[in-house]
Amino acid sequence: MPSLAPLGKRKRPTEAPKSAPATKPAPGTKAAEPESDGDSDLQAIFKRAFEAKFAPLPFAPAADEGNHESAEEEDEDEDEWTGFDSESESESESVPAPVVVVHSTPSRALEIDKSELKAFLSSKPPTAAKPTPFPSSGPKPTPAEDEDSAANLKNDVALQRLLSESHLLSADRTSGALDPTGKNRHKALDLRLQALGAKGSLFKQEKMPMAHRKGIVRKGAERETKRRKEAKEAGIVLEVAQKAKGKSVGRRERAVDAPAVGRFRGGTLVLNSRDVASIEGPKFKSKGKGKRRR
Amino acid sequence: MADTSSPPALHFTGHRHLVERLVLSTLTGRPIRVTKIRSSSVTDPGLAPYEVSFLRLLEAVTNGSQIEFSYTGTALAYRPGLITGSAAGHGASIDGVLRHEIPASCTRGVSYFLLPLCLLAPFSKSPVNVLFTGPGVITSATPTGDVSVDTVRTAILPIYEQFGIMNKLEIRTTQRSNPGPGGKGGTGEVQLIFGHQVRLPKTVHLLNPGRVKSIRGVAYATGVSGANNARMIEAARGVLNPFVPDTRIFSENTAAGFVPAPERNNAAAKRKMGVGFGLSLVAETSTGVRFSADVAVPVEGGVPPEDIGRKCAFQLLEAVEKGGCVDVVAAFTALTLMAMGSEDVGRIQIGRDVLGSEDIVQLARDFKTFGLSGWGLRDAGEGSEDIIVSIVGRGVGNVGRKVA
Repeated sequence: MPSLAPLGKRKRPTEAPKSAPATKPAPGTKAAEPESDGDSDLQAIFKRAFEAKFAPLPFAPAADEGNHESAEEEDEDEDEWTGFDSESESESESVPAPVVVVHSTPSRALEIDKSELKAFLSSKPPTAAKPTPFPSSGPKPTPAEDEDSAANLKNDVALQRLLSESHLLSADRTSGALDPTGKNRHKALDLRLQALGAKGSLFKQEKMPMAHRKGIVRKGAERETKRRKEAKEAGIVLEVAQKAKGKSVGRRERAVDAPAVGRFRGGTLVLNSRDVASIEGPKFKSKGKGKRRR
Repeated sequence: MADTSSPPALHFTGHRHLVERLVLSTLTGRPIRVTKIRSSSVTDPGLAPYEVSFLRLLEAVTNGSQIEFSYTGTALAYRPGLITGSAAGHGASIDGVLRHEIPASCTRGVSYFLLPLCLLAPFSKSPVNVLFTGPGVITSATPTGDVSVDTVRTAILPIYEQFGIMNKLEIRTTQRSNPGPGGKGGTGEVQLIFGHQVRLPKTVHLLNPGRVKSIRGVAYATGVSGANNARMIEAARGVLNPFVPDTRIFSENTAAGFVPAPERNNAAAKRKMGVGFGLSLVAETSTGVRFSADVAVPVEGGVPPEDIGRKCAFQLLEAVEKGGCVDVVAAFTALTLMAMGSEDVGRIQIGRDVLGSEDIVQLARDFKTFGLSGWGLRDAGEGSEDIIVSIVGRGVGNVGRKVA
């Protein structure tokens, strides 16, 4: 916002007459006249005599009182300066060049967020819908409320655990407490781990002899069929037996040089009847009247 | 593509708006013929080095385009091909980066290449990944009227988001540079990665410019003291802070790059080039509209950083005053994307002064020549001086995508 110069600035200095603009003709001739002081009177007379003979003096002589006055009245003018008034016009013949003053509010250095700086100066374009993290201005939760919610949360967790681990508790009748102990504690921990996304149970043995594994699987299947049978006899409707979902066996990875059809064994291509059928293609039996033939 | 059945070439004259016409030609598939390119100039008739460089770039990112110059370079025939992007083995290196060397005599900023390339990239067959190097890359704003690479990244690329193109867009500035002596050449290095290709850009309805909520900016000083940045920022914030308290301008102070300057006794001698400083400002409104301003120190120097900062701030205020949902710099991008969209009416509010600017009026005429839909204009009303431009998309979109 460029505004016009306050004129007072340029006349203010009184003690150091050097700082007054050198080009300006002396305005002091009139300003010094009203002084009743003998000293200044004399000076004025000298000055006039001097100026009659030589060029005007470049600056006004120091006259304390008068200058104070002028400085004051110019201070008043500073606020709303509308133009050259008659007095200053009479004082100075040449209009000083306008001084451009730029008004800018001194800006407080905002500390720049490092993350924001990084985000803005990165090579990616800044996203339009970037949520600016404002500190929440809403009413802060009171401590009592806070405590309450914490307690609620704790109870919720306890309830959820109780629901999911109650079957362990029913097996363990020794302790009346809700927290599982001993072996059950380990089992409960395992369940929680699985709930949090663990790959499998800790208690599932991965490696064992094949006969061992077969026995386990067979026993499990036996138990299941027995359970179903008993339920059927008792007239209990059970859940639908879920088909064991085997791996979808697609085409097996075959060798690059394997034949497309049949098996190559011992230097001979062996074709079974299915392979032969697939080569021959579907046979149309001419049993009908021949009309449906394509 | 280039067969006898293609439509007849459209005829244009003059060197102005050449880039816009080449882009429209490539997007619509219409061949063009431009004559009288600076034919009246005695000193340097014909195509300028940067225009030739752009044609080379165009040839590199397309497949099957034909470019023919006349002897003097005052006439040009262009038959567009398919936009392939940076396909490995087709000009691009093994990692899919296409190197584009800009000659030392280039007087335009790198945004002269970036803006049209960004416009072609969404309709490309494969991602566009171009590395601009060579002795002519100017990343700052230039006196020839190009914006800085920061403005492209922070003000132009977000426009693509409105059209549903927002993934894998990057502009990496590995070396900054102001124009070299005489406004020619620079030592910058910029990589554009445009990895989001679409069949058709979304239809947009940008009717609410919103109110300016934040101002961001980058002050860059290359090869000169970082105090220049601080002074520019101080001056710009002095102007802008009373309007928007959320004004943050970041400072980037980097060393100048080198260009080879062989001497008689030292063939490997190098010389610093492209020193200077500048400021890029972006005002974002509550609805995501961005206005940008860009001022860099002139090549001759002699301007204090305070003046640059203040000038840039005033330029930003002017851009905001003009209003609308896009400023002058972004209007070409937004309008072209709308015209290339699906066969649906898209609307955008544009400031009266922006729409009335010479470039945009010429763009409207060129659209008509290329057979794109005409613009429907109506007053925005509601106490706003803006104009709402309705454009029906062409509905053809990405030919490469359709085939693939």
